Amino acid sequence: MSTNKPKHIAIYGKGGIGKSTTTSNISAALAEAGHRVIQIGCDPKSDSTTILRGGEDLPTVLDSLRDSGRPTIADVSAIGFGGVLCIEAGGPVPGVGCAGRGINAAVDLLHELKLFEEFKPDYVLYDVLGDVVCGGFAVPIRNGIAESAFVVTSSDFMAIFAANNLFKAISKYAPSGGARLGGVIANSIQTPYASALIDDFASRTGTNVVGYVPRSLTVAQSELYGQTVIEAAPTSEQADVYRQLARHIAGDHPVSIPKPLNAPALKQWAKQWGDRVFGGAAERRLVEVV
Amino acid sequence: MEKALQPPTRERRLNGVSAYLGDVASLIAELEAGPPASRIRTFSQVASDDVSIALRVLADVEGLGIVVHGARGCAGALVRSRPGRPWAVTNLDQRDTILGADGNLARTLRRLYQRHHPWGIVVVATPVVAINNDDIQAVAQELSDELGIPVVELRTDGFRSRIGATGYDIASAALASLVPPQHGRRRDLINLLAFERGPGLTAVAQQLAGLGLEVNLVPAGAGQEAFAKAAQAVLSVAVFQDESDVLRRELDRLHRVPFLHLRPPIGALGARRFVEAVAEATERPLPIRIDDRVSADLLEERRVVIALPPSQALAVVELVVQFGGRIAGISVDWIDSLHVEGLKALTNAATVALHVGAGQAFELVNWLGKIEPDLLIGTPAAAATAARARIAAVAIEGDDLLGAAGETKLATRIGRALAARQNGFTAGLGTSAYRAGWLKRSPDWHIKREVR
Ligand code: SF4
Repeated sequence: MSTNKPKHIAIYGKGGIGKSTTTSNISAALAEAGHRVIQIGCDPKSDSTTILRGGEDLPTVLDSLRDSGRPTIADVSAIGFGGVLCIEAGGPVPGVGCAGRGINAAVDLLHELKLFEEFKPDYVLYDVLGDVVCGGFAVPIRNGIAESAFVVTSSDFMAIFAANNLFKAISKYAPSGGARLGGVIANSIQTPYASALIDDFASRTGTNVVGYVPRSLTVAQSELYGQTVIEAAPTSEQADVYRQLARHIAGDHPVSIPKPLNAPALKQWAKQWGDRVFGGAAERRLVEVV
Repeated sequence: MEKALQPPTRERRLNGVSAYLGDVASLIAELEAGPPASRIRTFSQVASDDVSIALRVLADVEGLGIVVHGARGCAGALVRSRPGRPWAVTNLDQRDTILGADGNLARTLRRLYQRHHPWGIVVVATPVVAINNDDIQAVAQELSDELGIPVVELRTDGFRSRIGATGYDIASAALASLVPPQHGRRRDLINLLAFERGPGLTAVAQQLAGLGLEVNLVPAGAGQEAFAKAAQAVLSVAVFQDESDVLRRELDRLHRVPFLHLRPPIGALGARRFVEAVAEATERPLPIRIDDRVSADLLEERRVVIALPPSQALAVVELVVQFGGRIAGISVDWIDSLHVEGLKALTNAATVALHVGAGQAFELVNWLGKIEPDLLIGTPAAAATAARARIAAVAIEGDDLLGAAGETKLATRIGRALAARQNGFTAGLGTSAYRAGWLKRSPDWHIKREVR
């Protein structure tokens, strides 16, 4: 346990590309290294911390707020692998309300309940839905919730597009005190071009890749057991990848203000990669998608 | 950037209650047993909300700029503020909500600064469009650097709390952040915290000054200079410490200025206790005792209802007893755990009726009809309601009650009201605003306990 101020870190990523798995494994690796960790799921899907706590049910902060009006920390948290305190912010009923504001309300409540003073974490990881399309999901980086942010992306264009949008939000708010970017986490690396593509995107946006997580069966298998790789396959190579990432995040990682690409530049960049990867034939289809 | 936390509501922080009808003893038991049952009004007449109270507090600070970030109606409470007070409203519309209103806010701040040169600006968040409120923190920080003055956010949304006093808390949190850090303490300087300035407060301040202390009045009527000194004070005291609760906590948390808990300096005895406690805490010789209490047995066992803000009401209890009266009931806007001790001091708690509700004239009339007191001492609004119900009433407000002069003033007004009653004078207001059928209902028919 440390008496230092906890580090609050947001991990963004487009829905469905493995940001919760990555975040949970980083939390597990940090816990394994002896740190006190809180992971807060900020995705209305509320399944961020599932593999840290064996798939057990956990009421979300917003649901408890709605139902009882005065939830306690015990009502909305569960101790997961390695003592990681798991919390799901939750969201409104789909189709109603504002999910982004929900994150803010949930985090406000956690402060009000003195969670951080009492649990005394070293690290608080916020696992945030990365489709930053509005002010809502930018809340953790604009309102002082997190001091730095990482973005998980695959080589999938929509994931890159989401990362670029996050960069736009960071570059808007960082000069007036918002969170800065800690770097890019390249996930689901399977093909040889995938890391090259993500590297190129990072260098063009003035950022850097802090870790490459290969696509791996171990991850899928561990998830089926409702566990992180750190727990289910601690001696695997994949576990070491996450440990390395965790070490980077735990260290005094450099932060920067990214330079996002504007819409035509991003389109142009995607087209070039389309040509490189698939040859000219795929060009037209790809551009249509963009 | 640190996360700007929204100050918790009175309900959450202090188990505040905004709707209650019953006796004092039962509420004490409820408050002591943990969070009280949440009661909601399914019908409410008039009540001041936290936004208007917060704006009123800000408007009393000298030379401070106010920008209301919202639709123009949200600035309504400022319209009656003194002329020359520098305030503006961003006048948000749909476009601002969709596209973000940070540019609009920055422009408004620059213009207000160019025109009035305030020493600090508070940006007031407003109800409903929370996503626009999210624009404030970053813009405030940016403009603070650009203009070279503190620009701070006041985080309210006007609907989290049913207790208007939450407005004191959020305004206090913003104002406390305007107090610059200082090195060193001045042993001859104390902060006197008050949200209303008047002759009563001036008299209390003079008595304290008589101890050889410099009295720094904040925040009502205070300007940049008073704010600058606040962190150097050796301690803070408040005239009404339930209103000042967050301000004193913040001064302690941010600047280590301790707080001396004192009952309000209401009446001669109250004022003397107050001054003596300050003298003791600051290690100064006690002032010479002047016995200026009103000794007359003015009330002759009459049954009295007090309808004032909670800490004032509880302090006036002492005066009523001193005047020979009996407490039949108390009506307050809200009550919270800060008042438990005061309520416990009532000797006949089980038989004192308690009404909690702000601006609920119907409840008040109905409740008074059941209690049938001989006299009501209350705010002008409560006194008017009572007078209309043919109950002898004395109207008095916070500042009027302070100091020994407050006691004399109250005694004079009581004497007048009772004399008028004896002479059959009922202020010509003897028509009830409610039909008999309405008044047959229970006064709390629309107050429901929230089911969980
Ligand atoms: S502001 Fe953003 S998060 Fe909130 S409702 Fe709109 S789209 Fe959703």
